[in-house]
Order: sequence, then structure tokens, then C-alpha cells
Amino acid sequence: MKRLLLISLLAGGSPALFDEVPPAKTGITWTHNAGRSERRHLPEAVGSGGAFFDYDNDGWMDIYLVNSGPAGFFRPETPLRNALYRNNGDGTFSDVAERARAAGGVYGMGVAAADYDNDGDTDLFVTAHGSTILYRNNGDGAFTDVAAQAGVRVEGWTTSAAWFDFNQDSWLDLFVCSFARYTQEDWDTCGRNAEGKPFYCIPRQFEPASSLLFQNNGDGTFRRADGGTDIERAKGKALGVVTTDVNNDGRLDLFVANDTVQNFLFVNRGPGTDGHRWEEIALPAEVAYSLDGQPRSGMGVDAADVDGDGFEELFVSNVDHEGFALYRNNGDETYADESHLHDIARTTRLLSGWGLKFFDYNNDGALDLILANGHPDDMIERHKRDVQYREPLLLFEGKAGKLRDVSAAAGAAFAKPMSARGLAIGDYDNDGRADVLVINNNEPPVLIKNRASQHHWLGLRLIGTRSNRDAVGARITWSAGGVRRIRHKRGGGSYLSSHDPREILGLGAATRIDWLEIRWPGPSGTVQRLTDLEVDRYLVIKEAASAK
Amino acid sequence: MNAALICVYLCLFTAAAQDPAAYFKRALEFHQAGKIEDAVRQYRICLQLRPDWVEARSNLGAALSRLGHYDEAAAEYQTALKLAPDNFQARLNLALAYYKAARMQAAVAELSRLRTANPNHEQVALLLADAWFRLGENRKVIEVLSPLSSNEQNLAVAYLLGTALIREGEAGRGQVFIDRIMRRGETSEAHLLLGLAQLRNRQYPEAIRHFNRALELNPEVEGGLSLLGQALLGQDERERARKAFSQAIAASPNDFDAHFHLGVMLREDREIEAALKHLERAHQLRPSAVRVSYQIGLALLAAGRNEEAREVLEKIVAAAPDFVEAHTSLATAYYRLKRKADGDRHRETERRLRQSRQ
Repeated sequence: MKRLLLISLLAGGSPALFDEVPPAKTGITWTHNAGRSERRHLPEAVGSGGAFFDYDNDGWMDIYLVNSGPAGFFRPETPLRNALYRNNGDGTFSDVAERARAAGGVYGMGVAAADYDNDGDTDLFVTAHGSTILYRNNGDGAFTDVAAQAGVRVEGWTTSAAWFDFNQDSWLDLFVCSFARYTQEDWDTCGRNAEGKPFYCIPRQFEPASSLLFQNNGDGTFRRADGGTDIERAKGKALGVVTTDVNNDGRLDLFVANDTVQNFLFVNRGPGTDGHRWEEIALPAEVAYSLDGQPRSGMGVDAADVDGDGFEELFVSNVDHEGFALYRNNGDETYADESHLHDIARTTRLLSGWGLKFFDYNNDGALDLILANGHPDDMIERHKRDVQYREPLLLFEGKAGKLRDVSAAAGAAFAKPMSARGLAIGDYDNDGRADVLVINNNEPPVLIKNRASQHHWLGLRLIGTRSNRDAVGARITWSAGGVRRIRHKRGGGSYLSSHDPREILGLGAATRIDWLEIRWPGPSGTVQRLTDLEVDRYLVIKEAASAK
Repeated sequence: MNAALICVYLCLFTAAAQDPAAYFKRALEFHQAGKIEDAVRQYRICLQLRPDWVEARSNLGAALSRLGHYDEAAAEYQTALKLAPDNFQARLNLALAYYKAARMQAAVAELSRLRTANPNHEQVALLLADAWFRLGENRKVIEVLSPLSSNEQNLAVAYLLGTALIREGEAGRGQVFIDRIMRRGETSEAHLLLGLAQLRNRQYPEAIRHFNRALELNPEVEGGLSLLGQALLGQDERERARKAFSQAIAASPNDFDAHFHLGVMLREDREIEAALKHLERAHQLRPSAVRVSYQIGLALLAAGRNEEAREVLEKIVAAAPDFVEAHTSLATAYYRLKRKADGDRHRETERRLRQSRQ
């Protein structure tokens, strides 16, 4: 028996859960160019992101990748451009960015994809060190930058962004993370390290900035909606944002990860006499700082109901020696950091995390977690023996309410050190298994195919008719094999990146779904119940005119 | 035997039994023979007969100290000093009793008095510096020992002074004393000092190498295991660090650093009750160390003992109003106790302090 086991191990044991798909197979040959310089400007270290989205509505997830470009501190020798990889439906992709007029041209950071004008096509908001871009999808395979006309052209340094309908008027609004003020004056005074070389400044040195909230007017334009609110008052260095519903009141709140200052938790208190009310409660909610009362270097974020109690937990990745945080929602607008109860605290102690996502990699119904890592400083190995510049991905499997590190069994893609920043999850081959896109800093991206699941699944594409068309904020509840589960359709999350907008519900061994219930976001709030659904396929569900 | 003769015998016997000098002599014999409990009994009888005998009381204190009864010993020395406030030996013994009882602040008070009266007494200066050292007051160590630094023969001075200088970031001045010790051959103390210098520079592997060598040369070298634990912790070898701190405490129950670092590790690993045990011991050893009190506050918060945490944290912010993390944690305690207004007040303070740091 032992011998058989040994032979099995020598032969490679069980197949890998994930496989990297090489550029030669996919045609994804684009490379991120950070514009690395001897001066080591901080923006060089933090980009970039990417998106899974279906720009041409052919049912296949396309890929958008953000590149650097001209900036005050960087003049590229040859023009750099973003990539828009059209999914050919056969495992290959074709870069159509130029033809689609979506090639960027700024020092790009991240991207947030959504149908902000409810016209049925997915649009892109690109953040940058410099001017932001709003690519309105023309519906004919091309985009038009309408940021200025729409009122969302932002100068400065913006990072992650989230589309969500905060006032439940059926139009997606936009939250944009502002990182810090970083001007020539700042980069000239950063200093040199022990070797006498310029180094990436610790963001503590830079002046914090308020993030921005744009309210969608429903006519293709936006207006600032943060004035006089806690969003304006809270000066941070925001890198990640995710929507969540802290207290299950049906209104979408915002969790913002900040670098070297406290995180923010903006609770949506609804309309007031002087405008919409936002209350920043991170400190009383105990998600602002580490348990030692120290600000950490928050980068990637996500939210999900990990323990199945109906309230959403929060996750933040931080830099090495700080530990990542998994905040359990106590149900009373407070949280408890329970990273130590999972494998999280121990496993992430020496890592620096960026993109991340709760998802069900094996479709067993329980949420798993993927983390993309890499130290921001390319000289770190000269100063710290226990930290590497390139770091591997981590995969945690959810079982009985606990997240267990299964990276060692996940395959070679999870042993490969990367300078990961953005991370997007999407099912690019429509096989019902969520694949992984890692966007590396100054290196090519990595597409990783999910080969894990033997379980049943149901994929949903929700289309709002009275609520926002992307159904951001919808609550999906389902029962399979007698087990009830809940998923929120959220905006934002990860780092600089945007995920496949479809939801894949893992059914485990169940061959049918008992029932599926969708609570559409406001203004309708319609609850739609479906039964007798066929599984192992994608369904398009349109919001019903009234409750069924 | 007639009645008169009996009376003579009894009277003679009673006179001898009532002679405190006889009891003192017998006590001294027992004391010198290492029969300490017998000596204590004889000293006590002697002092019942002659309570104002300073030498007997001082000796009783010494015997009690030998038995580890430091508080009782200190009481005897204090009584002796009331009778003879200028008695050098009694005060030195009192200081030593406090030192052995890990009551370092009390030891420092007595030794400071002795030093004022005897400014050139090298043993007093060394003991005072050692007590300051154990309180983490490296600047005071440097101040006390610098006048003695020219004595190249006194390696204890070189070790303490070198350590204090390195801990204060004065590596160049510290190196002089490392060299002085090294010239006397490879010693455990020299490796401790070299390791400490590396630890200060976060050169953990080198520090670990020196600490391990120091422990090879002398497994009982004071502070060796504790320093090894700190270096292991520095390079994130938490299990080995934990073991080193535990061994340090087993070898030296009053090792402040070992108690403190082990307490912090246990708190971080959410073993809160065990953490509190070590942190409270560290607090007893250095009552004025705010960082220890803060860790106790954090552990109490982690245990949900919010009212106790509030009390600890309130004292910290009263003593150290600029301790921003303490304001943050105190705000958390207030919020948990549903005292929103108090929470908001400290939240505002921490926000203001953090802004001023940016």
C-alpha cells in the first residue's frame, strides 16, 4: 500500500488544481511596463490592474490590461498602450485595443468595468497617475473617452474604483480611491537608502487625500457627491475599495483599504436633509487598525459572508510583517479580526498582498480565497533576509467555516514567484470553473486555468431592468442539497481590477438546485424566486417586473 | 541536692539563657556553617532579648535573604536602618534584598543614597548601574559607569557599559568595550555584546550565531537565552523564539525581556491568559514601562475584559498623553463599553496626533 502511494506521488500524484496557460497558447503577449527608473518613483511600484469583462457581448470574457504611460516622472521611449484582448472562444485572444480605441495613453493604474449608462454594453473607468479615463462602450466594438464630458476626469493619483448604486436610483455611481499627493516636489525629496540609492518612498511621507464619490445623473454625466460628507473629511491613501452591506439594511456601504493610515468603513445611512449621509465608522467597528492600534499598509480588499451567518466579512491584504486581516462581522456594525483562527495570519506574515478574491474555486458551495502577492520594493532582498520581491500566490479552501491553505496542492502556478499586483477572477472558457488573471508589475500577466472542480454549478448573469443593469447590490440566495447559501453581487474588490460580472454558484454533489432567490437592489427591491433550473450552465436572469 | 543549690543552678542557667550575646554567637556559628534556618531561630531569640542590636538584625536579614525570604529580610534591614541610618552594610544589604526580589526601583533608591554618601565605591556604582540596566534605563547606566570606564580590569563595567551604549545606538563607543573584553580571550560576555550589536542592526543571523556561541561557552550566561529569543523573533522564527524565552524564564524567573517578548508573542497568537501571566510579571519587574502596560491593555481588550482594559489604558494616556496607539485602543474600549462620547473624544485625539506625525 505504502509502495503504491509512493509510486503515485512519484508519478505526480493528483493533478494540479490550476495550470498556467502560456502566452504561446493564449496569444496574450502584452507586458506591463512600469517605466522603472533609477530614481524609483513610487507609482512604478504599485501598478497595475486588469479586468475580465465581455466588451462585445458575445458571451466570452475578454481581458483588459492597464499599462503605464507618459507622466511627469516618466517619458516612455516608445509609446506604451493598454491591451484589450478579445476572447476568440477557443482559448486564444486577440489584442484589439487600438481598433477599439481603448489603448490608454496615460500612466494607468487600474480599471473598473460596468454598464454605467444602462445601455447593455460594459464601459471602463481607468484610473491613473495623471488623468482618469472613462471609456464609454459605443456598442460597435469601439470605445470613446468621455471622462471630461461626463464629469469624472480626475487629475492626481487614483487607484482602485468601484461602481455601485449608492442612492438606489438604478444608475451606477462611482467611488474612486485617491492615493496621495505625489508631485515633483515630493519625488525630489524622498531620500536615499543605506546603499546611497534612491528608493521607493514610504507613502507615510506623502500628504493624504480624500477619495471621490461621483453620483450618476442618469444622462451620461456625474456630479460630485462627497462634498460635506465623511468621505470628503476622511483623508487617506486609498488603494483598495469594495462594496459591502455592513448591517444588511439593503444599502451599499464602502470599505476602503489605506496605505500607512487607518482603513475607512463608510456606512451608507441613506438620504438626509442635507444630502446623502455617510458615516465613517472604521475605528468603532475595529477595522481601522491592527490589533496593536497601528495603521497597516492596506492594499487589496474583498467582502463576503465566509461563515454563512448572513453578514459579510471583510478582508484586507497588507505588507510583510503586518499580517493580512480577516474581519468577522459581529452583526452589530463591529468586527473581530479572526485571521489567526484560519491559516491567514500564519501564512501571510512575511508576504505583501495586493489583488485578492473570495470565490468558490471547486464549486463545493463554500467560499475559498485567492491572494496575489509581491513585495513593492525590488531591492527588498538586500535589506531583509526573510522577504522576497517576487512571491507566490496563495489559495485557501473554505471548509466548515475555516480557510485552510491548500496552495501546495494547487499546482506549479502557485509555486511560481510573481511581482503580482492586480488580480481578476473570471471564467474565460465558460466551463463553469473560475479562472485567474494575475497582472504583474513590470512583467507579463499570467493567466491560470482552473482545473479543480468536479462539482455541479450554475452560472448567473443578472440583468437589472428597474435596478441598475449590472445588478450590483443584488442578493442571491440558493439552496442545493438542502444547504442554503448567500452571495452578494458587489462592486469593486481586489486591487486595481475588475472581475467577471457573472456569479458561479457551486452546488457540490447536488445535481439540481432546490430554489434560487434574487433580491434585486433598489429602487425595485423585487424578490424573484426560481425553481426547476437546469444546472452546469450559464443562465441569463432578467429582473422581473414584479415579485414572483 | 538541697533547695539552695537548686536555686543557684537555676539562676545561673537562666542568666546564660537570657544572654543575647550567647544566642548571637550560636546564630553566627549556624550561619557560617550554612545552617541558615537554625541561625534564623537563634537571631530571632537574640533580638527578642535585645531588639536594638543592629548587627544581629542585619545578620538576620542576610540569613532570611539566603532563604529567599527577601521581603522579610528587607523588613529586618529597614528596622536596623531606623536604629542606625548610616549603617552602610545594612543599607547595602537592603538594596541587595530588593534587587534579589526584583524590586529594582526600590533597589535603585537605596543604592542611590549609598552612592551619594560613597561616590567612589565601585561595588555600589556597579550595583546601581546593574539595577538601572534591569529597569531598561540605559542612559542612567552610562551616566553611572562612565567615570569607571578607565578601569580596564573590571570586565563587569565594560560589559554593562558596552551593552548600554549599544542599546542606545552608540555602537562606536560600545565597540571600545567589546574590544576590551575580546582582548581577554573568547568569553561568553564578549559574544553577548557582539550579538547585541548585531541585533541592534537587525543582522539577525549574525546575532544568533554570537548568542549561540555565548551559550555554548556558558549555558547559564545571564540574558543569553533572552537575547537569542529576540534575535530569533527578529527573523520570524517564532517557535524557536518562544522556546528560548521559555527557557530563559525557567533559568531566570526575573528576566524582564523574556517575560515581555513571550507575553507579546502569546498575545499575538491569541493565547491571552498565558500572555497576561507573562506581561503582568514583566510589569512587576518594570512597573514604569508603559509599553508593558499597553500590552496588558491590548491583551485585556483581546480577552473582552473591556472594563479592565479601559482602566489600564486610561492610566497610560494620563501618563503618556502623546501615546497615540493607547488613545486608539482606549477609544475602542469605550466604544465596546457603549461610551460613545468618550470613544469619540479619544478618536479625535488619536486623529490629531496621527496627523501631526504624517
